[in-house]
Amino acid sequence: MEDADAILRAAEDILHCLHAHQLDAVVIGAVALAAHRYVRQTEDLDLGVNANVRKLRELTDSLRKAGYQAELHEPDADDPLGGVIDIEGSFGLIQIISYADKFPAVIEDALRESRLTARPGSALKLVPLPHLIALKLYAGGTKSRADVLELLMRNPELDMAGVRALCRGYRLAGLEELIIEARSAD
Amino acid sequence: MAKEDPSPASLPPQRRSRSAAASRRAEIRRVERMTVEERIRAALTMSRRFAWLQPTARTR
Repeated sequence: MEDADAILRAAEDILHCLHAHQLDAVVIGAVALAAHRYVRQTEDLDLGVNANVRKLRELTDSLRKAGYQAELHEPDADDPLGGVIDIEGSFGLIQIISYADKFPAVIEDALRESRLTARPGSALKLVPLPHLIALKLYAGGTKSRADVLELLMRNPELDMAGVRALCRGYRLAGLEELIIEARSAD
Repeated sequence: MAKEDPSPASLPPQRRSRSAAASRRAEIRRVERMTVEERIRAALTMSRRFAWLQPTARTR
């Protein structure tokens, strides 16, 4: 369990750094999948933020000054993401993934509606399940679709009307066929 | 010499496995009983817990 503690502690420390830059984050990716009942192997922890490139550069500098090995990957014009910071250390890999100027609403809404944290007393907010599904649909691809399918099968009590409304509001396609497939697998 | 069936069309039609579905439901119930923190820890430590599954080189 030492590895899990190390990456959670590092993520909590990095979150303090984000707060110092007036930024907030939600846990997304495979750690959020696990929290929402789809436990699969992961070596990294992903934080979703809304930060423009200038903010990401400042944040990367601060992380380096704090002793982290941080590398910023800036987006090009066609990038569906607003940039990614990789932070590596003995704890593993933490990625700060920005949706600024691309899909900021999902992070804003997730931050506002998050009710779960990664562990008791932690400031690491977990993305709510409907918003995690929306992020996966936005990412697209076979793996993300498979993740949505697993989430739907493992959370049968989920308010599907709410998920449909959320994804419709974000103009995301592809949910309906995954709902049908999840139901047929029961 | 027996003639080999050359066609994959002779395979039975794809069906969902009842036994695999039951096993899956049991796994889902097990995960449901875990706390959020336990699930996160399980995901983050899975590679170590199952490190013995890493392929090893053949010695001969």
